[in-house]
Amino acid sequence: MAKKKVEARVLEPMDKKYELVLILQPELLASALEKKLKEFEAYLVENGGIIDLKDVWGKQDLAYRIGKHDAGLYVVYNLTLPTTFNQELDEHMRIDKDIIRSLMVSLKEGYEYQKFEEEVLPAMKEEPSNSRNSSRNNSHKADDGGKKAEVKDKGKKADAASLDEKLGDILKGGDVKV
Amino acid sequence: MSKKVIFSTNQKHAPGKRRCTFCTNQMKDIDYKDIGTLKQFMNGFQKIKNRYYSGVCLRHQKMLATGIKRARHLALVPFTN
Repeated sequence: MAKKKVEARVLEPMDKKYELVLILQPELLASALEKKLKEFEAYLVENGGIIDLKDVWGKQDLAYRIGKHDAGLYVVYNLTLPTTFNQELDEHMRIDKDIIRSLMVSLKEGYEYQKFEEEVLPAMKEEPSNSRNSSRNNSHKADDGGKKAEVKDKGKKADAASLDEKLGDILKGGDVKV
Repeated sequence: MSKKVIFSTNQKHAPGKRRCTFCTNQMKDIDYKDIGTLKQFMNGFQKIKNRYYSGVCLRHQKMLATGIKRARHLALVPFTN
């Protein structure tokens, strides 16, 4: 118990909960990214921050270009930081060349973090349905093709059956006649 | 746990008589990382839809606007198209 008390930092009334989103350069390798994040976390902890949650989204396309970059590595943190540290952190992130962009937002009480995969996967499923024309046309075409194929098959079967009947008639008739 | 947001209720009513989707789904806050729901309230030109057409109440419209602006800053959603 004594050890735990030493490790855990006592919360002060000046502390506040934040959510921090970083966009890093896409050219960073996995090992370099880990190193970078470790350094950044160490910097946070040095200045009295606590990391509640960390989520690495990975490489993602940007909606628009940011300084010659078409993609970025997204990382999300949930932090508790002293309020006096805010400006210094902004300055630190601005100077860092690997961090393209960042957003820090204070959180309300009772905030629950939703994981990115859970959110985006259904959206990704919806996207093809949103581009209605192409998908719908394709589906219609496919359906029509199937129906046509079925109809053709039926016709063939009918033809075959009728031919058989005719053959049978002819044979019977032939038998009678011959 | 992501809740499914129901948008279908708004399509029944004429613009001006629609009901707030966030009120009906009992969503207290709008997340800027939730791009799927944000895009429902954006124009073909990626502008924020008018409250008259989307039917969102004033309180949620303000939250929506901040959410979309944050998402734009993070390049999750484009400024214009």
